[in-house]
This record gives sequence, C-alpha cells and structure tokens, in this order.
Amino acid sequence: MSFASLEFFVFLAIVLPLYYALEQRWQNRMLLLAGYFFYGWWDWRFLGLIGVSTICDYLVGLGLARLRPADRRRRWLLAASLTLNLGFLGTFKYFDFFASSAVELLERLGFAPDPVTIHVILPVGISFYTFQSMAYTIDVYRGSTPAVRSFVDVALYVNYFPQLVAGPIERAQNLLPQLMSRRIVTARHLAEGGVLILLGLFRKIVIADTVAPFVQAAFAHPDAYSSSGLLVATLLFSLQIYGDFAGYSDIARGTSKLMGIELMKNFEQPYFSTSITEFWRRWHVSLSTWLRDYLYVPLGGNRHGTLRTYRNLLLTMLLGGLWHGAAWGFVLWGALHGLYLAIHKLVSSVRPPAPDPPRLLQLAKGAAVFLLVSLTWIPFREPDGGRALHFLSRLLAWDGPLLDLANPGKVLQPGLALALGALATVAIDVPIRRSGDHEVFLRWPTLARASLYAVMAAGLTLFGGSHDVAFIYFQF
Amino acid sequence: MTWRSSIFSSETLRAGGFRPWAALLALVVLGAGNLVAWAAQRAGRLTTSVPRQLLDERRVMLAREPGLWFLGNSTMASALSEEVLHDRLGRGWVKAPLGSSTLGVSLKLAERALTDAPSPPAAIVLFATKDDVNVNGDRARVSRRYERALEGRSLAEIAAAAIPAYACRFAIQAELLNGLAGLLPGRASAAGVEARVPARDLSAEFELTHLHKQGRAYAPGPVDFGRLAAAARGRTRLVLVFPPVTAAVERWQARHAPAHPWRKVAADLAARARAEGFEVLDYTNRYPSTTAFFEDVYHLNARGADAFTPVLLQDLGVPVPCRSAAVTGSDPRPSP
Repeated sequence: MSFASLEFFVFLAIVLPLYYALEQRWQNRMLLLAGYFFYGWWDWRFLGLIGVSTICDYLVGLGLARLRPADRRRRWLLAASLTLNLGFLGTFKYFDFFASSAVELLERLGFAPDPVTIHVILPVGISFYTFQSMAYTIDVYRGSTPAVRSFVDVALYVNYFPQLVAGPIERAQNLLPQLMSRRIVTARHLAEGGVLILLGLFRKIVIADTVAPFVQAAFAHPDAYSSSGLLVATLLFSLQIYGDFAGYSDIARGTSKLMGIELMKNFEQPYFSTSITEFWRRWHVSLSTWLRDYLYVPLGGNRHGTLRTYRNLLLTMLLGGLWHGAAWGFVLWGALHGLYLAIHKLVSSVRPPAPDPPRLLQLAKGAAVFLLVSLTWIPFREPDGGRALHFLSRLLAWDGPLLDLANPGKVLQPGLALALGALATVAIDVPIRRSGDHEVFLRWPTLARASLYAVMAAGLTLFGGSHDVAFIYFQF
Repeated sequence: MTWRSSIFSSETLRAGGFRPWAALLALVVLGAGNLVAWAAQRAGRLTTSVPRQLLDERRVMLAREPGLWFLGNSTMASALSEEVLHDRLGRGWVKAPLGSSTLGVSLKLAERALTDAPSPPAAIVLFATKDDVNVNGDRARVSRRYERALEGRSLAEIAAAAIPAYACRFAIQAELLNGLAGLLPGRASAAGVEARVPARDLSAEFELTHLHKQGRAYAPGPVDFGRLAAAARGRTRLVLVFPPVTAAVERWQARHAPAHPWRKVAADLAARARAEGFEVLDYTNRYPSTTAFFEDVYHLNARGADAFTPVLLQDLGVPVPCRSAAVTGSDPRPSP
C-alpha cells in the first residue's frame, strides 16, 4: 500500500479514529495489527519473515537482560540475532547476486559451473526493518537501551507502519519509549502532521513522479540522446530521488505525528551541502547514522590511524551501497561516495576550510557537490554496471546537439521540467534551511499559508493520478 | 478492550483551540479554481481526461464534422500536422486522438460517432501500429478504461469528473507547458532545424522500455471491422493507415515475437479490413529511422509530421495546393 494511493488514505481513515478511541495498551495492539495488514497488502507471505525476526529479537533482548554484562553468553545471543537477521537479508536480497557473480567469475576463469540461483521475490522494505530490528538487540547488548518485556511493544517497534517499508530507520531509544507511554495529540501535532503529509505528497507526486518519465526514457536508451540530454536526465534523477524519498519520509513523519509519535528527520536539505561530508549528514540521516554507529565506529572509526580511518570509511560506504541492492551499480555508488569522503577528509586535513568563506565560493562548492552527487546517481539508477558505464561515457563524451531543437522531448522539455522541479524544491527547502525548522510554514501568516496549501493541493490535483510510480526506496 | 475519554490535549479540545483558517481559505481558492476549470471545459477550451467524458466529447466532435475523421492514439496525433491539415483542408477535418487506445477502441468510437452524425463524413481514417492489436500489451491494458467507459459509467469516473481541474488535468498541464515552452528557443522552423541538427539513428532501439511493455507476450487480438463497415453502409470511405514507425519496431517484433512478425500481422489486418470495404495505406517503413523524422521509435516529430501529412492527404485523394512546398519537399520517398 503506497503512501501516495487512495487505499492508504482509506486505511488511515479507519486506523486513526480507532487509535484516538482506544486506550494506550489497545492502541498498540491495534497499531500492530494495522502494521501487519499494511505490510501484508504487498505480499502476505512475507509476514512470516518479519514475525520470525521480531520473535527472535524479542527473545534475544530478554535473554541479554537476564545475563550479567560480563557473561560471554551475551555475545552468542547477539550473534544469533545478527546471524538470523543478516541471514534473511543475505538469502532474500543477496544470494542470487553473489551466486551469479561467482558463476560469472568462474566462467571467465575457464570453469563451467552449474548456476545456482533461488529466484525469490525481494520482500518489500526488508533492509529497513532488518536494520531497525538489529539496532534494538545491539543497543540492548551495549546497555544503551533496556530490554522490553512487552512483546507487543517490541513487535510494534519493528512493525510500526508509518516507517516500516522505507524508514526512517528508527532507534530503540527514540521510538520505544514513545510506544510504551501514553500519547497526547495536540493541535500542533495535527497541524504539523497535515502539513508534512501535504508536503510529502507534493514532493512525491508533483515533483518526483512528474520528472520520472523523462528519466525513464533517457536511461532506457541513452543512445537516442545527446550528451546535454543525458546531463539533464541525470540532474532530473537527482531531483526525482530526493522528491521521492524525502516525500516518503515527510508522509511517514506526518502520519506518525497524527498519532502523537515523533519520528526522526531523515533529510536536512542535502542538496544545499557545501561538502560531501555535510551531504552525508543531511541525506538519509537515519541510514548514515546507523552505518556510523553500528559499522564505522565498531570497525574502529578514526581511532586507529589515518590509513585505517580511510579503510573504514570506504568499507562503510561500500556496504552502505550494497545495503541498497544486490547489484554492482550500488557497489559502485557506495565506492564513489567512499572515495569522495576520503578525498574530502584528506583535503580538509591538509587545508582546513576557512571559518567564514565568501558567499560565491560557498555557492560554487554547493554546485560542485550537487554535480558530483548527481554523477553517482547514474549507477544507482542503472545498477547494471555495463549499462551505467555506457551512459556515463555517452554523457562525458559531450557530443550531439546542445538543445536538440528537432526533438524537444530530449533536452528542452526535460530541461523545463528540471527548472520547474528545482524551483519547487528550492521554494520548499530554502525556508526550512534558513529557519532550521521543518514546520516553518506553520508560522507563516494565514494568507501565506493558505496560498501555500492552495498551490500544493492544486499541484496534486493537476499532477495526481498521471503516473503510477512506486516509491524508489520500496525496492530496498 | 478499553476506550479512552480522549487522547487529545485539553488545548486541542477547547473551543477555538484548533483553527484551520488557512486550510479553509485554501479550500475556497481550490473551489474557485475548479469552477473556472468547469466553465472552461463547458466552453470547450479544456479537454477532459476522464474516459467516459473524453469519449463523449470525441463523439460530439466527430459527429459535427462531415469532412475527414482521423482516429487513433498518440501515433496518429504525432503523425498529423494540424498546421498542414488546416492549410490544405481548411475546416473540413477532425483529429480525435485517444491516448494509448487500441484499434478496437478507435473502431468502436467511430461507429458510435457515425450513428450520432446527422450526415456521414467523407472518410474515416483509422491509424494502427503493431501494438494497437496486442491483447497483452500496455495499450490493451490502458484501453480497458475506454472499453469500460463505452459500456457505462463507473463510480471512480463520477468522482473524478466531479473535480473539473482533476478531470482536465492533462489539458491544463499542456496549456501551462505550452505557455512556458513558448519562452524556450524551440520554435525554429523544421527546415531550419534539419540544417543544424545531425540526425541520430533510432533503428537499433531494441531495449526501449515502452517497446517491451507494449510488445510483451505478443498476441494479436480479434479486430471487428464489420460493425463500422455496416454502420457506414457504403456512404463513407473507410481507410486503415499503418503510419511510419522506425525500423526498431519491426526488428524488435522479429526478435521477441517471431511467431508474429509485423509484416504478417499487417497483412492479416489489411486482408480483414479490405474484406469489409476498407482501403489500406501502409507507410510503415517510409522514413529513415533517425531523429530527423522521429521523436522516438513510434512517434514522428514535428518535421516528420510536416512531411507525412501532405503525403497522406495526397494518397487520400484530397486536393493539394502548393502552399507548403518547402516543407513537403523534404519527404524523401514517393507515395506507397
């Protein structure tokens, strides 16, 4: 059930009144059932998977709480939880990829192995809820969060429908206490929730879905485009993926706010970043902080010398890339970001950035970061390594007509969509960035707010129902 | 199960605690916008995209015209230059495209419009490409909405039609885009563009997504030419046109649906159409498969339409004055 569908709002219209009518304990039970229904809407067969993962992590949590911190059996319990969760992820998401890659390698070496693939359907959102579930057991193991005795609360933490299939990947310390206590819904919650949902739908339907066909056409056959057309398509995909994913996160946060539960912010206007390090503090914050806390730091972080720091950085980003999907394109995407981060770290250590750089320099750095990030989206959008490189080489060759006047669908129309999409994105993000407040619009005067709502609702009316584009991050 | 008195804070519940004035004002603005859209639709300045309303509009439009009727999907829309049609025919024509419609839907629409028409048109010209007859393709899937609309009105359609700005959203989008596109440097003449832009080959576009979607599990479905022929009763010329497409389409078909090569499908269609009194004009391979003539593998671009429209009119036997000789002169091959 997509957030941008009529079914979701019918679902919400049933869940919310029930939620408001029930007492906290029953609210959680009802939300848990609603979450299973929400997830089962895609494919009920994978409910077993999420159920097994939840039961395992609940029991491991209880087991960890019973043992003393020095007890070695705690390690075994944690290992059991990680093995099960990563085992599911490995089997359902990566088995075919690694098996086929191994077969391909052996064939190149002159062997003729029998291909072994299991051809399973990828359960929607498996990477998100697996990471969230693992975070609970790791936190209990570390002692940073207490084990929870109520199975319903743990299950709801794993299966809370607003963020179940595409995040934000919540931390136990933030979400569990809210799920375990009585919620109060204020007028501010309702207003903020409503605005976030409207904003999210606008980002997704009006910006991301409208540019999607141009991107689809260019990536389907780059040979039909001049290099300028491919550049426009690449920049359009930057807009699309941001609108799509930030839109999803906004709707998730807004929906949760309507129930008086705060989810973490997942995006902090990442395309205004002036360095790649800053970009990663602002893009998919819940994943980047997860990778930092549960991968980069345990690997040693920056505590064991320069070389190990760079190694850890590269390894973390490579695995971050692989988290997105089982394809070499995602590995390449992670590797490029790892490389960018390492270079930025190196340059910053040799020549620390000036405390108050000129505005023009900031703008130039922002544009450079946006362009570099956009280039990394090519293997992300086209995970087949060969095709991604072909696209990139056609783009870098810089040939073909600049404006392609004979075919306005190649450069001019996508260029117009890019300009309008960028304008809309900037119009939303600049006030948020300046105020540091995602709900800044609620402080605007009534007339300005009314205009904003009218423009967004008009956009949804005019562009809604035109393209049936699934949220990109559902596939992860 | 325990019910609670209220989850809401006392401030929220207090009279006046929740003041959604901005949202209400926005709703008023939206209502006014919808009123304007409704008036524009009534005046014929905006076209609906709700299938039932669209079919009704097309029927009325067709029934009023005693000249030439052109029916088909976007392939027809992009193949015929309205400028050239206007130059050659004045007002004696109507172009009634239905996005992604199958040949079956075009035939049904023509038949219904013919029964509404007070006087029969001079000719009904229907366009068809290989995917318009594929029962498993995207066009068949999209056309189910038209088929359902031809049978009766659905609840979803009634709801969509009740919001005029939503019902006419594609037309409004086009108006907005055309307004903005007017600012772009894309208004050069086709001939001028031809001189500046080197053409790129489109013949190898095997992997295009829309070819896959439209061509998947290719199986030509039944097409009933007989009903329209019976409704025409020999008073109207009936013409089936296979418009120009790139060589990629035929190659893709040979590779992915070898049991149904386009030549064979076209020959079967043509034979059945001729048996019912249709004339058949085949322009499939008329133009080089390059961006000089095509927007993509299926659709002619503006220059392609400028070149193709006079050729079609000539083959239909419509008198052709020499006003746009510069444009028609770019057609590279003789008529079929």
